[in-house]
Amino acid sequence: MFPALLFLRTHGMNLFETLKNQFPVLCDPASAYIYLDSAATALKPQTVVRALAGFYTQNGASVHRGIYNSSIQATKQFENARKKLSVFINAPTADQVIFTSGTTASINMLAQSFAQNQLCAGDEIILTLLEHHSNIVPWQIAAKKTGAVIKFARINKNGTLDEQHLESLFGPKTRLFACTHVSNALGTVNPVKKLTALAHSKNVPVLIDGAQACTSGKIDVQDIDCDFYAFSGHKMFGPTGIGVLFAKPHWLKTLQPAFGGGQMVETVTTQGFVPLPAPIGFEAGTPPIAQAIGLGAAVDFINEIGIDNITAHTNTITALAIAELEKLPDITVLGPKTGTGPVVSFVQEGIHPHDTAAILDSEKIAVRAGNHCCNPLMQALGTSATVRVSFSVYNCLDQIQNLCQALGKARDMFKG
Amino acid sequence: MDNQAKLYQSVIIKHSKHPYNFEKPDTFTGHADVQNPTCGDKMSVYLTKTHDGTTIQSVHFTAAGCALCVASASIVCRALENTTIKDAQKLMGQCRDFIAGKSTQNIPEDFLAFAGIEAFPSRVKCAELVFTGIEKSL
Repeated sequence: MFPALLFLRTHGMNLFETLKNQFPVLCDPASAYIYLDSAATALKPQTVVRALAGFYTQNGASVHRGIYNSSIQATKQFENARKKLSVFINAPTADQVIFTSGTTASINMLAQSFAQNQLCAGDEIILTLLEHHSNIVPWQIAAKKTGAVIKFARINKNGTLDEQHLESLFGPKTRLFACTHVSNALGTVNPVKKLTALAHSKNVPVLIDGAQACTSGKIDVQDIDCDFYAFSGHKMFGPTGIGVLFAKPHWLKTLQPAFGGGQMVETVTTQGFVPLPAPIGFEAGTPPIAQAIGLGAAVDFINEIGIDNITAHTNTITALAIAELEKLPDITVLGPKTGTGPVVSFVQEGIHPHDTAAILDSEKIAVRAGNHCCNPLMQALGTSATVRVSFSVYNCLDQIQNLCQALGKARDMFKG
Repeated sequence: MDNQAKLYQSVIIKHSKHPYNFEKPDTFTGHADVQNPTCGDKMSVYLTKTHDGTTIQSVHFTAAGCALCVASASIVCRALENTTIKDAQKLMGQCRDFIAGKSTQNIPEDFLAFAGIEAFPSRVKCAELVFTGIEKSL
């Protein structure tokens, strides 16, 4: 039996004590630190590292085209990973799961495909002020190419989406609504099912940026009913360089591939090409084979623990973090205080976030400070930067105490 | 240096909390807005030359940045007051070398507090933002 599951069944919910031992980077005493930056990237469990290394040491062949056993086996593993991912997000079929290099690549690919045959001058794309730059800049590039216009839905003072304002933005020229599932900067969880229904009621397709959502709860693209869902492997314990774009069949038939090359074509002549059907038709070139297999192992890791157990654990830590940080006289927590993903943003009075983060680093606590690739959101919040802490299965409640003590050291250092 | 906290010496904290010439003056002869894209620090530099254009009379600045960024600007603005442009450029070159860990010659005393910053490349960018601002204002 998987060690984590065995421990859970015999020792209850103490996820941290069992799981931290499965993350090699946390087991090296020489590099021991408290990692509170999982929103940037999650650390990797041994099973994922082993799956990656296993592919390179035991196989190493390319997929789909080889007429030899190791290539056939590599293809099976690669396509098996796709199947696991489709089940993970409850996609109706594995063919709707396109492998990309990450969320950013997924959104760029979609934006470029939209620019080819879906957008005209004057058409409108609706985004929100909660977006990461990766769900803004690709659309700005597409808008520049086509003459389309981007509109931003505002946020409320507490960092939630202003749904009334969002609704007012839809019009006859709206061609797409794209929004984040969970804000990487504030942890705000958008009601994506409700927002998708709103957009669909205006005949507007929906892209959900799920980069931060895949360990914040069960992802069910059929329940959300979104047209597209993008996410990254590395934020859900998988390798870097692998991500997914889910799309509904209608769009897979309608959209033209953004990238061309080997593997994705049925025929090529001097006159042109005929792409293969999805998903291969959208996966030009040799795909990230080892990374896909590693991501499959990450899905197994999540499933073994149970996404509900993971969410319960990180929700408990997040709630404690917000409560303890708010007790500190010089800390202001930004964003919603309840119902968030495992992300907490704050500022320390009189100390720039970079300085706070640098002093926390000296106390062996890794946090993120800056604008979190969310300049429009920071402008809306009236700040240029925040300190962000984010949590995962390898974090524990005690670490919040460590964090608060280290913040006290920063406070003392800047006194006077 | 393996500990960023060691950078936060009292002289740097003092300059960051009470920066020299931290205001937009009524008049100035050169101005630049600069930004560190890595971390988002922003600075506006206002430079005033003498009538003959050979000497820096004063340098003022405003900034939204970390302690290292503001302290560096405070120290440099004071050091460059009433300095010929030629000497100012030389001094800024020496300071840039210092925070790159290359040289310690002719460094303003307070600026010596940045010793060891070269171990943290992202923080070097904080300390050198003021040089970019001044060079663009000249």
